[in-house]
Amino acid sequence: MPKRSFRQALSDALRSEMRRDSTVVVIGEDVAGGAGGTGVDDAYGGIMGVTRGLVGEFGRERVIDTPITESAIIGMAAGAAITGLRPVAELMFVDFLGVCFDQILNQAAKFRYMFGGKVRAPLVVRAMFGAGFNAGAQHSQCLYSFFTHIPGLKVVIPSSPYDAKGLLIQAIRDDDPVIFLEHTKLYDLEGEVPADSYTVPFGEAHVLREGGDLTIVALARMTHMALGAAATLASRGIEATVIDPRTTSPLDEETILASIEETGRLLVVDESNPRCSVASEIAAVVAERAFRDLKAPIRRITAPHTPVPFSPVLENAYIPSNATIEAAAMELVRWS
Amino acid sequence: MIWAITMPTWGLSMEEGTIIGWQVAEGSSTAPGVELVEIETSKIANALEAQQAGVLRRQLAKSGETVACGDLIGIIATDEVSESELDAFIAGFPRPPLVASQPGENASSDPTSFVELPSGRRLRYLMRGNRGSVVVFLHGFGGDSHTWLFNQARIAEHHTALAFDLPGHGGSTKQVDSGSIGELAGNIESALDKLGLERIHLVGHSLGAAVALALCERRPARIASASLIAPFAFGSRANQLYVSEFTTAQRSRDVQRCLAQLFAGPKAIRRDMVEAVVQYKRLDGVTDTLGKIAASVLRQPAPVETSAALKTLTDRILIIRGMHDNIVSAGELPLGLRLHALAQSGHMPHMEEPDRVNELLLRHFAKADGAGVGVR
Repeated sequence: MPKRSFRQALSDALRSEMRRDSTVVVIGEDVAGGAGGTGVDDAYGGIMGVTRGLVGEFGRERVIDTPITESAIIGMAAGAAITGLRPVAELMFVDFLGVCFDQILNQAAKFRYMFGGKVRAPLVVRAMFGAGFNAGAQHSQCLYSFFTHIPGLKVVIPSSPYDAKGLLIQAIRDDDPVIFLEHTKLYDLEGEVPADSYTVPFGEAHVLREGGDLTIVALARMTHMALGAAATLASRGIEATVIDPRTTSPLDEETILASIEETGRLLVVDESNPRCSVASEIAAVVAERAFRDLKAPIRRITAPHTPVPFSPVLENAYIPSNATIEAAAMELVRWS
Repeated sequence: MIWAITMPTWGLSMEEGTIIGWQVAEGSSTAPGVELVEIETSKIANALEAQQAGVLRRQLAKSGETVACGDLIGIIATDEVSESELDAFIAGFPRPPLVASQPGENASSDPTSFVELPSGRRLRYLMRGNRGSVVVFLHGFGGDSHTWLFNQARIAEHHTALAFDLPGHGGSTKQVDSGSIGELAGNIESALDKLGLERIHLVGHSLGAAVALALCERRPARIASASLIAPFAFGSRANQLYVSEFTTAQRSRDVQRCLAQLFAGPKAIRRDMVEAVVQYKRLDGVTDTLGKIAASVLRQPAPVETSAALKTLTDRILIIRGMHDNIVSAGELPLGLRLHALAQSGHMPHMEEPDRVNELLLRHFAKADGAGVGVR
């Protein structure tokens, strides 16, 4: 099987779907780059190069550079979606959600419901998220809990190149609004990715590792931290199951609950701020539905309740680490 | 005499295995065929059998220990060998070279090849061995060439062994037209022609056995021998519930439940094998293709009558079935066909009792080769 990076897997998904379905269009700032200027056409391909090369194959009718106005980008995408296109709109950073939130919350998410099912809004909003690049407080947030809270949206967070391609193809083919979030630190991650097109279903968690002593649920970059911690724990005789939900809406509760039935201990690792986070949601679901299976209190490992620091030393302390996860796991296993 | 027991290499991508447990205690005697130790990988679990009569003098790897393929895990020796001779043997045993590998690195350096068919389709195949007569392996419904992970290397010690991915499966083009046996066999035949393979031993499992029989009928002169493992043939009926469940299964646990039905004993398949099947099922066109093959081939009993062409091959056809096969029924074997029934196997005897099956196959090939087959 070919080896592809996370970035290449996303690009492959977009390209194959744009070839298969002429209603798929890409909209965003610098998704092609060079528009209206002299010089290279296709200068950027997006901030991370995911959409590079698409304008050459599909032209500027289907790969649309916009001005810097997220409210227009998402508003345009929502409107285009209900008139028969399948837009893949890009928010450069998920932190820019603030200026287009109405278009997502009150428009796209509610069209299907408020029009009695007579319209569907098959748009995808792609955005980069997460800390680790010293990008500062306004360019490093997670914010997926905001989207997860809204009925009518689907929220997808891949952690591997294989998942990225399959989930993006699924998102494009899905007839409802999908928020598709890509962690900044994962773009260069490599993995085996089939050359053929395939879909990964929403609402199906991926069990990355099996172990009987505790269950660690983690998202995006945190799944890799969790696997690192699990390897260290194994050398100390503690075997952890690591589960990546892949989508927070719909959330695969069954896989998590089945694992708690076996291990009785839950650790949730979420790079977000703690209050009303997805970690809190998962903890609540497990406490409510698996109370009798629990052998220890549930632990959430999150960032602190602060903005993301700009200082590299402080940012490092902000992001949950392997060591924090290991320490929490040891406490859980020893709890009595 | 001293014999090393080393971690085996199953299939093409295995790098290490974990000891589940020893079946023979240190100091106990062994005989060829006795199960020594249970080993598991991230894909599968299997028992390693002793090849020699002697005493299991040392268990060098303990339960739960993970060992690189080719590394020492135990020693069988005859009684008169002293402890210090054993120590010297162990000390002098060549360690396998350390491979700085990343996850999946070995898998992507599989010696796979592709053959392009005139229709534009392509078939993937794995080839091992480069001497002796040619053996062609054909897997079953929903499987791929990795089903032969316990067989291909052993057969390749004496033969050139090719395992094809059938149309719609593995790394071959996923689309099929009707999914009939004629179409599948026609594609394989084109591939054999393209590769210039004129005389072959066929090994077919389940649906692959039906394809093998079709190849025998189409060009009997090409076939040196045919070994049919749990064949869907001669009036067999397929377990319809299994076929529909497998065709529609998408979630890991549904796939796992399906795969468990293929085996007689406790679950041998591990997470990575389930994941590989799940990933295959998700590819565009696969569910469609499996549905077509099921409708064309598996929903009705396999044809009973044997053609005149097949009758000429009767003494070169070997049939192997597990006694606990819940997936494909035995059907009515025509007179003169030899059947080997394996007591510990379900639908996958080549994976459940691989050593037995490998020996049966090698003997069958040798007999057909020695008899100067093709001269009638």
